[in-house]
Formats: sequence, structure tokens, C-alpha cells
Amino acid sequence: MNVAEITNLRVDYDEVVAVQGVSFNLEAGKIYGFVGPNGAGKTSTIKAMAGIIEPKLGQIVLDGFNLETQRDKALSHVGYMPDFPPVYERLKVWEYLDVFAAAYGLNERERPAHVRKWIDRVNLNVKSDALIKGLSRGMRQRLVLAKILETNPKILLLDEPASGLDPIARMQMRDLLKQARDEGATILISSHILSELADFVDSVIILEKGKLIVAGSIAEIRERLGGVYRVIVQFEDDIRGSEILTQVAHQRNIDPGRITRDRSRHIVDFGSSQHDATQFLGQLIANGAVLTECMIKSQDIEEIFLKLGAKEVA
Amino acid sequence: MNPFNLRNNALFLSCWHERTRPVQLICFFVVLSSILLLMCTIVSKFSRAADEMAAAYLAVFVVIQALIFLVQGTLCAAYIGSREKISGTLDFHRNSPESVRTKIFGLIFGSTWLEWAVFAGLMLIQIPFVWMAEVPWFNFLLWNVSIIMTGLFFHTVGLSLSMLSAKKSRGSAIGILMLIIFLGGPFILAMMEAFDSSLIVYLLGMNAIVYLIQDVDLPTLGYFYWFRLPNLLIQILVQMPIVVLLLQGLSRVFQKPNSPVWSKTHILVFCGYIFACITGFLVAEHNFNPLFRSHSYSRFNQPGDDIFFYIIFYAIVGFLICGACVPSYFKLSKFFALRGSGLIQGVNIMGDGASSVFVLLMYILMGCVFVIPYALIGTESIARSVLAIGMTSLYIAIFAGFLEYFRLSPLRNNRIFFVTVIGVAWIIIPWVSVIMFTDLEFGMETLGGISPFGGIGMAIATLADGLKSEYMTAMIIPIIMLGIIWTMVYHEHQRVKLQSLSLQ
Repeated sequence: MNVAEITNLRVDYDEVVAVQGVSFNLEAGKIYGFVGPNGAGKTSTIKAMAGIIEPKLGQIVLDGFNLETQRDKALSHVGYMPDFPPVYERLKVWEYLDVFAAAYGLNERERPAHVRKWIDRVNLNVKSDALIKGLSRGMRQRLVLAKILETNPKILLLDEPASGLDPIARMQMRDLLKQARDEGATILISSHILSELADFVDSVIILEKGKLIVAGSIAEIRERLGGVYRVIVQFEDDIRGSEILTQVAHQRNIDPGRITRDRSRHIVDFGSSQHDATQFLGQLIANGAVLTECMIKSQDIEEIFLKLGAKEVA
Repeated sequence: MNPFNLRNNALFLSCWHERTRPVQLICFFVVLSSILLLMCTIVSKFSRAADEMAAAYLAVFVVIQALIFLVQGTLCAAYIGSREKISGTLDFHRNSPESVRTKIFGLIFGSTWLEWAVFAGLMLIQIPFVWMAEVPWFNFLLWNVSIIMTGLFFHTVGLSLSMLSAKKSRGSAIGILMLIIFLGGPFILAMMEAFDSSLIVYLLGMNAIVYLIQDVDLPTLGYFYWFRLPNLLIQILVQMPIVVLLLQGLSRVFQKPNSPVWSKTHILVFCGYIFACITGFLVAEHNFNPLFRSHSYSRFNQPGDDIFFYIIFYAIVGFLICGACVPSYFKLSKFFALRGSGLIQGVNIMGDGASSVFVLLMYILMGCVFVIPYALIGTESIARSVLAIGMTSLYIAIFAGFLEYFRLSPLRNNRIFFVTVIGVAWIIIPWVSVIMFTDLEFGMETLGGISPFGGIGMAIATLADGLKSEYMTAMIIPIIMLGIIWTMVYHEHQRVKLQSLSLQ
């Protein structure tokens, strides 16, 4: 079931088109990575979905409500976290969460326990009574994340939430997001650092120059792209090994262009079939190659992105 | 959600938490008490009898109460509005499920709760002094109601102004407000004094003074059109419709984050209401003359002054309307894009993206209609009065075209260029021309006529001398300019249209 449907979205800043013709759907209970280099249109898309900026054209349906015509209903279950967390500098940490718990209908008896729970979850216990203006950027990010999660949104829109967080805080953030996902939330999380997202998102949406390049699960994208399995070998005798490798590649009709070298390592790109890569490795050994290092590696999401960018946006 | 349940109102809570720091509160009350003590000590030196003393103390408390409630409250409302906008927390509140009414209620009363508390506290302190000074209790009540109304009006104005200000400049909102209150106020007052001070008296709630100072010869009843009404009622009639319009503007802040605070309809209604008010006071003045004149706030020196000031007021309002109603490039572009895609939602002549032409026509029509009472009361004919308004309108229309062209053209982001062109085209060239060609038979009216003030000058001259042939000649230049500028606007519209449609 789709909780968000974006159709033909276009966002302009003056005469600059930031996002053009972008369409995608978000399914309930999934984490989506929103990927693209700086200026790709990620923030504009997220802001348009959060109702912060007005798109020039296109339709945004959130939780079944059209954002243009039923704004209040569409946004009532959306949590939005911008890259620079908006906070009340002169409020204390617990007061900030108290304010937004009230905004989402919790009465004054329920709020103290609720606020304490979320302060604990984002590890801000020791700062509970501190003024927000004294918090670091990372702490502010955690505070705003708690603000968003405490309102139990169906759709979470997070714009570069990991920037400013230390590695431990990043791991905690991932855990919190996974927990939210398990509780039914759909999360769209943007980042220009793909490796940040690769191991915990269910699907990715890749943007480049305001246009959508591809959307789908990482496995699907690998499948569609082709050439995503890679054999990396290092021979005991490099000259002899190279000869065997060329010979086996010739026998298996592998294009020489797919064989590259990184110092003493030989890299051979294969299609989407892991089986071909395994067989190639077996044949090398069968032909007498002595290996000091060998691995079959799936191409990481960063490289897929670069490859897609080069292919489809040129 | 119940907007009156303040303990569950998010925006109220945010302000409440921020302003309940013990140190800040203690400091505030120490300063307040010190000022009160100082002023009471000073006034006690000049009073002998007990009732005099009580009246003097009452005056001290009343002045401090009004200053804190009206000035400090307005500044705080403006500050909170700017803070919400700049910090980005306003976006969080926009998305929250609270009703817009709850949000606006929280914003207005949250930003000023301390001032309301001080108001109530000082009101309680005043009670024994009211009793000792023998001020009628009913008058005391009327004073407080009047100040509350004015406070509500001021606070809403402060909040609305802060929402108009640039996103990154908190200082600008407060600066604008300070400027209006401390510099603009006296200026406007001085201008309106001659024009129609009744409006400004009721708008600023200055009529409240009569409830407490009874030995001054000031009216407790006011005059509006053909009616003799209590001052408080006229004050409510003047202030509250504007408060309602401002509140509607604030609701747009939450519902339409990328749109101007006021829609074109709001601006036209506001404009019409202000014209109706000043006309109401003019009609009343002449209707209740001489009874009115002897007790009136208005003091027109010569017959005909009223229409003269009406034209100036009309022109000022016109320039403000141009600034508010000329569409931005984005809005016009979206207007065309939506129309091109067959989506008619948001595409209408009063929409944010529509050209200012229709609003201008309505404004001119209103100006012509409301000038008729002035003509009927004064010595000028209706035709000549309407012609005078028409001449002024011509210049407003040129300015609107000029602004619309600049907002749409590729030069729109170059503010220095814009200011330079405005300066050269509207001030330097007319004055150089006037100095160089004063011997020409057209005279100053003709060449000075291409400046915005030329229109007013010509309108006044027409009223004073009748329609002369040289004025008709002088009209040709602005008409040609009007044609040129609106042709340029039309071409710019076509360019934006093509651009918007080609990118779809």
C-alpha cells in the first residue's frame, strides 16, 4: 500500500528548475534512501512533500490526502526533519519536546512521562534541563529526531539527518529509524553519501540534476544495471597468473574491456549472475593459477550511482 | 482541540516556557516596581489633597499599564512572530494537527501573556485609587475595555508585520515596528490631524483617554456617518474589522506558506474599509456641524482641504496596493503553468499569481465612488472630483506597470538596478526636465507630471482651477507612458507564459 504518491513534481526557484517531472511512490513500512549529489533536488523534493515550499506543478498525495487541496489532513501524520534542525534556542530540552507533544494532542498529564521516554531514547538525559542554545549540532539533531518520532508519524521525511552526528549517534539513529519502520512508519531519508544508507534502507530513489534516475530496491537496481558482480584476484606469480587469466577470459568470451588492474590485483566485471563469477574463479584455479587473494564482490551502491549518473544523465 | 485550553496549546506553551525563567521575571518586576515607585514619588511632590494624590497615582499606573500592554506587548508579538519564522519552528507548527484557530490564538496570547498578566495586575492595583479619586466605575471599565481592544489590534498588527519581514532578518520586523510607532506614528498623526484625525484617534484607541480624564473637554460620544454613537462602539467598528482581516492573513501564514500574508481580496477589502471609515467621519463632520466641530477631533482649516487630503491618502494607499498586489515571477509562472496543464485550481483574477490589473481597476472604482461624498459636501463638482482621482490613478497605474515589469523581467533580482531606475525615471529626470524647460509653455505641471507626485499636483490643480487645456496636454505624456509600460508588461507576460509552458 502506498502512503505517499508523488506525480510529475516540479519545483522551481525563480527560473532555475530544481526538480522536474519526478514521480515515485512510497510503500508503507519501508525505509527509502533518497540519493543524489549536492544540488540534485533531494531537499527541494522533501521540502515540497513536507509542505514547506510550493511546487510549481505536480501532485503530492500523502496518506491518501492531496497536499494542495487537503493540506492539514495530508500533513497531520508527516514528520519532517530539515538538514539544519529548527529549535527554540531559549527553551530547555524537555520543554521543546513538551511543546510538540502538546501540538500532537497529548494532554498535560500524559506529557511528562512521554517526554522523559523520548529524552531517554535519544540519550539526552543529562541535557534534559539544559537550554537548547548550549547544545551541539549533533545533540540538536537528536532532539529534533525525538520531536519527530514522539508524534508517531506515518511518514518521516529526513533531510541529511546524519550530518553532524558522531558514529555512535549515527548507529543510534539507525536503530531508532528501524524501530519506527517496524512500528509501521515509512521513512524517506536523504543523503549524498550513499554508503551511509546502503545497509539499512529497503529501497533507494536516485536523483540527478532534478530528475529521477532510478527507483527500486538495491537488488533490483543491481539487476537492472548489469555488470555488478566482480572477481578480484591476486596471483603468487603475477606473470603466470596474468597469462592464465587472459586465457580463461578468452575461453569464456569475456570482453577484455571488463578486465582491469589495480596494482597487483586483477579485477574482472561480470553480469548480474553470481554463478558466472564463481565458475570463472573455479576455472582459474583449475588451470593452475596460484592465488594469494581472491574475492567475489558485489558492486557497492556508490559505484552503481556513479555508473547510473554517467549513463543516464549525460 | 480547544484553542482556549492554553496548557495544551503548543505555541502558547513555547512562549510560556521561554518567558517564565525566574531570573528574567524577577528582573522585569524589579524594573517595573522601580519605575512605578519613582514616578509615584515624583507625582506625590506635586499633589496635596488625598483625592489629587489618588488621581496622580492612578495616572501613573494607567500610563505604565498602557505602555507595557500596548508598546511592549506589540514588540513581543513581533519578536515571537519573527522568531518562529527565522528558527524554522513555524514549519513544524504548520504541519501539526492543531487547528489554525488554536495556532493563531496561541501565537497572539502566548507572545503577550506577560503583558496581559501585568495589565490585569495593574488593573487590580488601580481599584483603590479609582475609588479614592472618585472616578466612575463605569468609566474605569470602559477604559480597560478600550485598552484591551487597542492592545488586541496592536498585537495582531505586530504579529502580522513580523510575518511580512524578510526571513533572515529578525531585526527588520522589530525595526519596522519601532519606526512606525516612534517615528511613523507622529508623522502619520501630524498628516492625519489635518486630514481626518478621527480615524487615527479611533484606530490608535486614543479615545480611551476621555474615560479617565473628565475635566478635559473631550467628547464621550462620537459621530460616524449619520449616527451619534458611543466612542467605544466606534473604536470597535474601526479596529475590529481590521483585526479580522489581519487574523485571516495570519491563517494564510499557516495554510499557504508560500503566498503573501494577505490575498488581493483582503487588500481590496481593507482598502475599501479604510475609505469607508474616513468618508464616514467626513460625512459625520458635516452632518453634525456645528455641534460636531465644537467637540470634534477633526480640525479642517479651509473648505476643500478634505478632498485635497483624500487625494494624497488615495495616492499613498495606491502605491502600497501596487507593492502588495503585483505578482512575483514564481506566482505568475505557476499561474500560466497551471492554466497550461488544464488545472484551473488557483487560477483566477484574484489569485496570488494574477496580474494586478483587476485589483487596480477595483481600487480606482472605489476611489471614484468614495470621492463623491467629498464633492457633494465641498465646492467641487462630482465630475471634476472624479477626474482628479482619475489623474492620480493614471500615475498609480504607471507605477503598477513599472513594478510589474520589473518583478517579471530577468532584471528582477537586481535590486540596485531597480532602485537606480526608479530614482532616475521618477525623480531625477522629471526634476532635470523641469529645471531645463521651465520656459516652455507646458510649464512645470507637464514635465513634473511624469513623477508620481506630478499626478497629485495635476489633480489638485484641476480641482482648484478647473480643467484647462494645458492639463489636457499634460495628460498626454502619462497616457503615452501608461501605454508603453503596459505593453512592456504584456510582452513580459507572454515571455513568462512561453517559458512556463515550454518547461512542462
